[in-house]
Amino acid sequence: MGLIQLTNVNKGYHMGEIDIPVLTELDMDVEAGELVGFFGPSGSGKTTLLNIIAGIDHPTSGEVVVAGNDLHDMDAKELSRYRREVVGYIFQFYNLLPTLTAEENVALPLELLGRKDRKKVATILGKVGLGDKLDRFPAQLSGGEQQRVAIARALVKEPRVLIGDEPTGNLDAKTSRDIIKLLRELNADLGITVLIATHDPNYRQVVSRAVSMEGGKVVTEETSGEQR
Amino acid sequence: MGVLIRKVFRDIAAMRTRAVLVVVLIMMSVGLYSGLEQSGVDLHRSYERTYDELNLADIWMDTTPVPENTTAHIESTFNVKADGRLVTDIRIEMGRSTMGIRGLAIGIPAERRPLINDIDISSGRYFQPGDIGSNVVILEKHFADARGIGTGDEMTIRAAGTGIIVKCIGIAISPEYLIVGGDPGQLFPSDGSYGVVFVPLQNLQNATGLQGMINNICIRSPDPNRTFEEVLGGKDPMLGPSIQRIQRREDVWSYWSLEQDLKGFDALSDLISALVLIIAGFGTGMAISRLIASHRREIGIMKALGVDSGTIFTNYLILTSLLALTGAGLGIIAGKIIGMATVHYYGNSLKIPLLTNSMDGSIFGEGFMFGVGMALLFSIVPLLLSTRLKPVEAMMSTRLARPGRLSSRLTSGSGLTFRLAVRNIARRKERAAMTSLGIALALILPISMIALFGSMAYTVDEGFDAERWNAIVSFDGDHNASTIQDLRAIPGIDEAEPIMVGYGLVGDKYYGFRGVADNSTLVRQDIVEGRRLQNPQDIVMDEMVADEQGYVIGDLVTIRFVGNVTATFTLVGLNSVILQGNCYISLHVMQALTSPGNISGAMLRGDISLATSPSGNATGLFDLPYVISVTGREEARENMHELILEFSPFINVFLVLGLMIGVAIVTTAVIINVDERTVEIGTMKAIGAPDSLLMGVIAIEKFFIALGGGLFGIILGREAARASLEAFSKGLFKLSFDFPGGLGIRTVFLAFILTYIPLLAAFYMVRKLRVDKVVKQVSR
Repeated sequence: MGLIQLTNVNKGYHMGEIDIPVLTELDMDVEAGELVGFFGPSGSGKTTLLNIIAGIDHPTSGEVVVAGNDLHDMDAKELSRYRREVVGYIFQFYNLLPTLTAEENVALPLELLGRKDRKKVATILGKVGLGDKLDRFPAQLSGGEQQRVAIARALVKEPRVLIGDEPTGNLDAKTSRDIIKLLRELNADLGITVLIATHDPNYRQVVSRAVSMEGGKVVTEETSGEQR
Repeated sequence: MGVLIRKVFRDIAAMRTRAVLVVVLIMMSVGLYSGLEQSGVDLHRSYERTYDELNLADIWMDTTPVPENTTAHIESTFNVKADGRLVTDIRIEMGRSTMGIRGLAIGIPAERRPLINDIDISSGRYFQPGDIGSNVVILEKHFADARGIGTGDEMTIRAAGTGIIVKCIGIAISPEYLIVGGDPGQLFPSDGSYGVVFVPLQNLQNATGLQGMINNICIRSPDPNRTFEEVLGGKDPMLGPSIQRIQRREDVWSYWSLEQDLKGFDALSDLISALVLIIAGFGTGMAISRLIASHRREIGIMKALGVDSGTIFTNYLILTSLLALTGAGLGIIAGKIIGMATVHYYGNSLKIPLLTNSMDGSIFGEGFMFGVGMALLFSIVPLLLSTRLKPVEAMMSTRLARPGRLSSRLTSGSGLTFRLAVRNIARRKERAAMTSLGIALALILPISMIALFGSMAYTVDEGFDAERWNAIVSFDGDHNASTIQDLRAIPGIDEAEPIMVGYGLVGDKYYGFRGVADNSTLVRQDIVEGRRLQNPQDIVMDEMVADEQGYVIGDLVTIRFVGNVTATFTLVGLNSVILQGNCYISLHVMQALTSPGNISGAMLRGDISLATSPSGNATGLFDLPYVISVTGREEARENMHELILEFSPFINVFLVLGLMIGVAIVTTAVIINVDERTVEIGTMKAIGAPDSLLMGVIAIEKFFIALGGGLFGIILGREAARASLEAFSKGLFKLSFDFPGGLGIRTVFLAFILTYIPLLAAFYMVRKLRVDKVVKQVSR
């Protein structure tokens, strides 16, 4: 049984009298330790799919089970706990809290879990190359550095699933390559399951599975062996 | 319709919560301005309507008893309408109690309604010819309500020592007693301690042995524009020495005090309307400023696309104007409702029988213009700033600001909730300060009203605390000065000082005079300038009287007393008390000029409860037949507080309206504050922060903002209170300013209430915030 199981998942929006389907009858299993890339044009449903897995959006119908948590049956409070404990999320625009330093931003998920571990925070920030910028506020960091902090924030609690929605979509090519490399290393070293939605073809080189989506459906799936 | 204009409408739809709040703020400011101004005008009209429909007299003449047909003589001589009455001081005893309540019996015709000074029967009925010979009365409504008396109830009225049990057949409002007062030369009573009783004229004539006689002539001029002097031709109306006092309408206590009260209302409503317009303008400016801050990116994109600064300015100006015009339009409806509600509440509190509600185009037009104008004036700076944004900077999705070093260091070891809250404030110091200022502005109205009320109470207490006397006893007329010995002989009385109260004409107006003993220690005289009485020719005048008649210390003052006796005094001192209008001269001089050898009452010191209810068969104060009332100092203090409460309706009106606008402005600030931090809050929720943490952060932030608002509020509220006091202190009340420490604490407390009530809306927004929408918003 996979770490993430999606069974007949549908998602649609109502715009006045018009129904817009975003995901249609989607089935998928993701094993623990996989690094899955979701590719496709805008509107193909990849962000919606990741949001559903992250517990910040609800499917219209279907089952979503992540690490034994049946998201369909969870209320707002349980979903909040789920996001706190199971998932790490990397936003395209970083979304760091401007009043917290890099170190404090990273420590935030631990604090929410009632833990304090400055050493671990420092280590993980060192791992993303920011060991010397712990006291900097977001306003004092470049875009690439902010995204590294966001990745560290997502990783620090050692989530079962790390989700990135265009995590490098807002960065230059070199920084983008560095971040992709970092995600690959984290996946390989820590065994964290990573799900990335992206337009960036560079990810195809590092993912263990590439899922191409279009019109809310999976059109092709390739494992790393097939791609390479 | 152009794309940019369409964008204006869509922007309004997108910011509907904020738009509604701005509209509500402007609506309230226009509503309050128009409503208050209109209610001031309508209250004037209501009084005038009541006076006109009930034929309030233009002139009252108090005379010694004269034949009833004197009125016909006056009518033909002076081309006026005249109606005669018999008026006498009485003691009212309720139930089995022999404790007296001071009152006034007014004899009016049983067979017809009074031609002048008619009464409005609010329950029961007016007299009929069959009531002649039966002991029936109609009670004035203030007294009846205060004492809980209804039709069918009985009481004893006692005049010249003779008591009669009477039955109440009606309750009436009199235009002469819309605010009940006794003689201005004595202490003012409360509603329940002075009863005006209407009696069939013949019954009162029979009871007093004055058959066919009257002693009070009411005159109404057919031409309302004729002055007092023009009506009487500057001469006494051929009654000569019979005349004791002539009063013009504007000098009658009820009319005068209501006029003063309305002047206070007008002055305060002008001040408050202006403040409300400024507060609403400030709130609108704040909302527009935040809107433009949240539109930075759009403005940058528009500029990058080639839209010029003027067009951007015009677009946001149109947006602001649409909100202002909508708010002002709704404000007219609100103004009508506020105006009606104010007149209804105020008029009913004062028992004004005939109320008027109108809608003057000029007032509402002015309110509309001022409301729109202030909103645009306060929005002009953020509107201009919108044109100065540079496209590259503006297009950045968010402008990150970091907190200062000090706040970062101070909070580095603290809990997450506290740390986030403090740093959020430090990050947006100016914004937090503006929100605190908004709260302080919102507090100005309620705080100044509370301070005004407090100052009234303080002034009363300050005056009464300094007194030495324990009671004032009033007689049913003038009695021989030897009666003071009777008082001194009563158990419990340690000291008794005679006083002689009367009226005197100074310039063109009658004022109350008190003759006080040369060696008096119980009458304080309340000197604020000059000295006390020392010589027979000395006079101490109330500040207001001196001011009205243009006298200063050292001037010679000529006074005409009852019976055409005139005397000249030297003004040696000015006194000041909360209720103005009393003058002091030597008792011996007063007696010599008005009623030789007599006194009209006394100041007492001692155990007054023992003196009024002695044990066994000992003689008490109420056993003396000429005593009609004994007013203890504490009772007088309470009466004065109650009198102040009679003037409280408009203070309450302003207090409630002030709180309403306060809640509106703070709600606007709090909701905008949460609204513009949607992404931050959404992010926190997305990474698993519980709602309780987010609410905690907001609550702590608001704690500091409320504290700042409270402290600002003390400073601004104090100054506004001082201005309100000066506006209100002209005429009726002479007030000492008081802003005790406790009020400062209440200001801060009120700031917290004003801040934390709207926080419920903020908490609701946090709970309902859809994380998926926020994530999509930042991901695109």
